[in-house]
Amino acid sequence: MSKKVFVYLAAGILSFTFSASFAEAQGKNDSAGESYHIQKGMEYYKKGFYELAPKRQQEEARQNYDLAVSEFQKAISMNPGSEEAHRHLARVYYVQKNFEEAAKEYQKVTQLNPYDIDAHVILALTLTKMNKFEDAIAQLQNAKAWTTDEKVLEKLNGYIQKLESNR
Amino acid sequence: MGQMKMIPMHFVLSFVLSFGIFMTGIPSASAGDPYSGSYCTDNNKIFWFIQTSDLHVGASGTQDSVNLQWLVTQAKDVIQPSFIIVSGDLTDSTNANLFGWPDGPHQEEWDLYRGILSGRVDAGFYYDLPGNHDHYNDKYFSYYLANSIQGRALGSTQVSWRKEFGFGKYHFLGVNTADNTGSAFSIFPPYGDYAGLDASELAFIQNELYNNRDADLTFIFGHHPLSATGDSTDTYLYYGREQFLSLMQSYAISLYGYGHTHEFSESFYTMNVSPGVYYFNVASLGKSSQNQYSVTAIDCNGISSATQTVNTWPVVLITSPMDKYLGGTFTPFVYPVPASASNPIRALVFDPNTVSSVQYRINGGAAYPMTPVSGNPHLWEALWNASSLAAGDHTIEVWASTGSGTRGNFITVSVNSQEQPKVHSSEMMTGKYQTTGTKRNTVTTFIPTQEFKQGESVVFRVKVVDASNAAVANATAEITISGVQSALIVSGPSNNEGIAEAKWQTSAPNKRGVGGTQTGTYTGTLTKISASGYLWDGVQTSLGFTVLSK
Repeated sequence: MSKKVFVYLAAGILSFTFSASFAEAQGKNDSAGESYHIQKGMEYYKKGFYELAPKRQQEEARQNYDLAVSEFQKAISMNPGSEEAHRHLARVYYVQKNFEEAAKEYQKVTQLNPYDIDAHVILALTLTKMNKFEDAIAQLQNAKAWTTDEKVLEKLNGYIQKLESNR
Repeated sequence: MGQMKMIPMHFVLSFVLSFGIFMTGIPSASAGDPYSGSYCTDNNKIFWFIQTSDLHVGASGTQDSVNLQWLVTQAKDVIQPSFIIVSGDLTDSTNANLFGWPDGPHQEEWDLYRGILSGRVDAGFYYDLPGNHDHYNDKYFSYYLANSIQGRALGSTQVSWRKEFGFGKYHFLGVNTADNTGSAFSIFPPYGDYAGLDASELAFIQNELYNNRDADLTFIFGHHPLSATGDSTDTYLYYGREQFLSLMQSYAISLYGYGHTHEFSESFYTMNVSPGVYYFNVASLGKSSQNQYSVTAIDCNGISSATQTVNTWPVVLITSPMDKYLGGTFTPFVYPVPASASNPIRALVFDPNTVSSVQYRINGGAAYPMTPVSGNPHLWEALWNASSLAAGDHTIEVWASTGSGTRGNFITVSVNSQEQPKVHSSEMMTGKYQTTGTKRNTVTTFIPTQEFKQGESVVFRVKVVDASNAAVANATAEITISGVQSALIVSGPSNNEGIAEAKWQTSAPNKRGVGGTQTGTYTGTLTKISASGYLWDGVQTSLGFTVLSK
C-alpha cells in the first residue's frame, strides 16, 4: 500500500468515525430534548388538570394546557415517532375539548402502535364527540383486526352496536 | 384522622410505620366484641345508619342524580340515620359519554355531585369514600379531595369516626381500596383498576383501629370486595389484603360493607379471618336496575340490616332478636333466643306517611299488635311467647301498614330447648382500697364507704348470682354514673364468689386548685350484667355516693 493510499484511507476512517459519533451525539441530544419537553409538558398538564381544574380555576388551567401543548409539539418535532408525546398531546387536547386535534393525535398513536386497543377506543369515542359515527365505527372495526382476545372483541362489538343505534 | 396520599414525607412516615407493624406484629388489640350482641329488654340501646354505594353521578340518564337527591332529602329526613356511608364511585367519570368509558375525571360531574349535597349534609353525617371511578387518571385523587364531602373536610382519602351513646362506643372506618397508580381505564383486565391497600393506607387503618380499640363494635367500609367474586370483570383487593384481614381479625371487626359489583349480597367472610366478618355488598344506587340502599341497625349490639329499593315505603327492619341467618349463614355472633314466655321483639319502621299498625307473627300464625316505643317514633315493640315452641328454628315476621302500603320483614331465630337461666345482682356497694403497713407488711383492704375525696378511685362491687343465689363467675357488670358528671364503666370478670369490680377514677385539682372531678352527689346505677349462658333479669340497682374536695 502506497503512503498516499494509506493517508486517504486513514482520513476516510477518521472522517467516518467522527461523522458517526456526531450523529450519535446529535441523536442523544434529540432524545434528551424530547424527554425534556415531554417532562415539561406533563408538568404543565398536571398543574392544569390536577391542581387548577378541580378548584374550578379554568382560565389558569387553560393557560397551562396551552403550555403543555407547546411542549409536546416540540417533543414531536424532535421525534415525530414518539408515541408517548402524541398520546400526551392527544390527552391535553381531549381535556380541552379540542376533539378535532385530539382525534388527529390519537390517530397517530394508533398508527404508531396499532396493538393499543384502548387508543383505538378513545379515538372512536373522540370521533363520537364530533358526531362522526361512521368514522368511529370504522375505527372500532379496525381495532378488531389487532386483537384476538374474545372478551375484548365482544366489548368492541358492543361499542359498535351502541354507535349503530345512535347514528 | 386521615392521611394524604400526595405528601411524600407522610408516605415515608407511613411506610416506616407500616414496616414496623408488619415486621414486629400488630400491637395487642382488644377492640370490638362482635359477640357482645345480647337479647336485651332495653328499648333504648339502638341506633341505625344508611349504607349506599356506586352513585355514578354523571352516568348517562338521570337515575344517578335523582336517586342521590332522594337519599339526602326524603330518605335522610324520614329514616333519620346516625349517618350515611357511601362506599365509592361517587362519580362515573364518563360525563355520560356514549360508550360509558371513564375518560375523566370531569369537574362537571363533581359540580353536579356537590350541588346535590350542598346544604343538605355535612362531614359529620355523610361519609363519602372514593371508588375506582373516582380514581381513573387521577393518581392523587385530586378531584375527590377537592370536591367530596370528606375529601374537602379532611384532605385525605380515608376516614375514621365514632358514635358514642350512653350504652356504648362504636367505631367506623372508611378505607380507600381504589388503585394507587392513576391508571386510565382500560379494556383489558384489571380495567385500570389495580385495587388494593398500600402501606400508607394500611398504616392509617392500623392506627385508627388501635386508637379506637375501646369500641364495642367496629365496622369497616370500602369500595371493593376483598376477594374474587366469581365474575371475572369484578376487580377486588390485589394487594394489602392479607395485612388488612390480619388487622380485621386482630381488632375483631364486625362487618365489612362494600359496593363495586352493583349486586346485592350478604355473606360471612371467613377466608383468612377467624371467625369471620359480616360481608355486605350493597347494589348501586345510581347505575343498576336495583336502585338499592341498606339500613343497618345496632340494637343491644346485635346487628340487623334491610336492603330496599329507593323511594319504596315503608322500610321495616326487625332489630331484636337477631336474625339467625344474617349474612346468609349461622354465625357465632348471633345470640340464642330463650324459650321464654315474654321475649322482646323490636322493629324499626320508617315511612313519610302515617304508620297505622305494626304487627308480628310467629311461624306464619296469628298476627299480634306491636306498640310504638316512647321516645323513639321509629321503634315498635312487643313481647312474644316462645315457651311453647319446640327447640329449633322459627320464623318471625313484622308487618307495617302505612299510608304508603304494607310491607314486612322476616327473620329466623333458633329457640333454645329451655329458658335461659337468669342472673341478677344480690348486692352492690361502693368502697375504696386502703393500704396499711410498710414494705413486706403492707396490707390492702377494701373499705366500704360512700364518700370519696377528689383523686380517689370509687370502686363498685357487684355480686352476681343466679336464680338460686349461687355465685356466677366471669360475669361483667356495667355501671352508669350520673350526677354532676356522667360516665359509663364496665367491671372486670367476676371471681368465683361472683364479685365483679368496676373502678371510677376521680381526679384531683391541680396545685392552683383548678380542674379535677367535680364535687357533689352522684348515683351509680347497675345497667347491665353480661354472663355467658345467662340472661340478666334487667333489674337496675342504684347507689348514691359523694365526691368531696381534696
